[in-house]
Amino acid sequence: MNTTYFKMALQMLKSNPFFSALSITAIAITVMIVLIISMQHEMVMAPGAAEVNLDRTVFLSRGILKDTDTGGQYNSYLGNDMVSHLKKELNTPVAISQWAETEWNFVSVHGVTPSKLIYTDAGYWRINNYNFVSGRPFTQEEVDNGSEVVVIAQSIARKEFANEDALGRSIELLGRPFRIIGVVSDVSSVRRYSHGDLWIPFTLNKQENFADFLGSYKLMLMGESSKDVNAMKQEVQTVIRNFSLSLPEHNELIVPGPDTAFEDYFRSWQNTGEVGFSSSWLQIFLRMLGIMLIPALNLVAINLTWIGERAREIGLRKAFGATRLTLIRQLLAENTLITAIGASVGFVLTIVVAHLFSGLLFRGQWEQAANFVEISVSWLPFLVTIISVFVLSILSGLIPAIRISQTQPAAVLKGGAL
Amino acid sequence: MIQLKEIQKVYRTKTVETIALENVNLEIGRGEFVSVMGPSGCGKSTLLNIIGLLDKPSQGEVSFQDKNTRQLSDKEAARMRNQNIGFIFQSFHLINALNVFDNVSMPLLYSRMTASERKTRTQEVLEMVGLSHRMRHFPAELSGGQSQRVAIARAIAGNPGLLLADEPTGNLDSKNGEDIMEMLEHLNKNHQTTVVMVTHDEQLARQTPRIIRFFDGRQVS
Repeated sequence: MNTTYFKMALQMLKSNPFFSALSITAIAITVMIVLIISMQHEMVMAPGAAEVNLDRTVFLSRGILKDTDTGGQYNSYLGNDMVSHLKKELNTPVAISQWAETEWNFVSVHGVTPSKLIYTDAGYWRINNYNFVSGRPFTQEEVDNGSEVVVIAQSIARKEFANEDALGRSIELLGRPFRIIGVVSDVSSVRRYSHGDLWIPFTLNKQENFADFLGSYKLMLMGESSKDVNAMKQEVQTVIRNFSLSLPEHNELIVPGPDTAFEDYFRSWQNTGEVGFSSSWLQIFLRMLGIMLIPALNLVAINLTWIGERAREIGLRKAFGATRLTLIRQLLAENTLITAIGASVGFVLTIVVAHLFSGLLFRGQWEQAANFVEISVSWLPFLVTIISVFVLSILSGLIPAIRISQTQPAAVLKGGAL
Repeated sequence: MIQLKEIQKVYRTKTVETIALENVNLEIGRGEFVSVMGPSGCGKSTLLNIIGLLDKPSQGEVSFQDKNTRQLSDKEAARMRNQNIGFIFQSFHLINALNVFDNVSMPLLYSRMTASERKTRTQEVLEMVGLSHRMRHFPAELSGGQSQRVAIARAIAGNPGLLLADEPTGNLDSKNGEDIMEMLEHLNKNHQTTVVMVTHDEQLARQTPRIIRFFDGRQVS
């Protein structure tokens, strides 16, 4: 009987091309929107590319210094002093890295290239797993000595040296020559912790700090495994609390976090630095609900109109022996078929749109040399999207199906053509 | 086969109460061919709907094959319609989206027949009405006479004991009307099918052995 339902469903879809196309389009667009948003989030928060250790890494990025006397407050990245203190005091992380990023107009004989310059340390290369096309990362010794060495992205190497080996060559940065010691594959600009064009030791960073403990650095702490995440969080807060005790009485230091990649992503949405993460999940849920709700209501409306137009057919089927349950099953079979077609179209549409508009959809705030665009999605968000769309679509068909199955055949068979 | 006792049907809106049938007592035996006549709005179609379990009376009892229909659940009533009753409508009520074959086999989908049994039975009844060559055609491609023959094929596909025809020749010319009437007579005589036919046509009604007349919701003869 189920095959018959689907055969009937196919016949009904073919006979109503307008409504079929309308429903399929609505479902396909929903699937595409949800999948693309899920891909965008996935690329920011899930391990991948160079950020393979994201699940066992936590991040500290902002500090807020309040002056209780004047009411003033500084809100900035972390300063070198605080970072050094944390690096020295923390025991749980197996690797710690500080890094500061800045926009840099890289000037050479080939012109000006807007770039993302990253000041960092040796730990950075342990936490991020870059694909070294050639050469190596800088060592702690080179960092400590303030060696003028640089790792460059492959796109910069291609631009500056074409097909020649960039290793050992010099480029000019900060007004002096830097020796290229490594070339890495480009990383997508949506990757918040690894995208860049030029990397040099942080000891060469002469940027001005707001205070000793606030400045331009972010911190990455990597545990042995994801089980260390909570321990690292607690340890960081203890160290910061102790650090705060050394501050003058009228100063209050707040360092939110450390955060997982997920939490850090949501904190970045709010500039205050303070955010409740239960509200982050709520935000995701409400966003997704909002995205799904509009097409769901559309689908209900389309279904109601379509089924309404078929009232006589439904009445006729009842007259010839269809029960309410049979009719509901038949209408749900139609809905399921339409959803399956819509979801498949949506999936294909997602791939096409993702590739056609990759620059628009999957690029971070940095528009620098390494404009490589990464498109990836893991099976879990994909599966969740497809299941959600199916549940939603079937629910949207259930309401009209129940309503129409209550039709009194006598009332709709009084006259007129079907 | 059918017993109606003190049937009353009242349609109520917020402001108006319309009595469609009042105190109807009727008995129709197995194998009868009955015409129901009367002016428009006298309750003929309401009577047919009540007999066909498409509507429930406001008062009174309906027995079908010695079974009181008041207590039937939605499922039981649907099964009873599917196995025992065939409907023919004035405006055919074919499903435009389905071809002739699928229209005719539609009632069989709700029976316990297998797909191959449905196919055989559908071909059989289409041959009976002389339309086996039009199996893959759609309703829009058929004449009025052909459409009504398809509707008859659909009505008899489940081999019901009772055929309820609501002005089956009302939308047809006289030649096609006669053909349909012959078909109904054939089913009544050769297959012992009970036929209850609503009609305005006095001449047509006279061809049937029994005529029931209605006026203002009451049975007058």
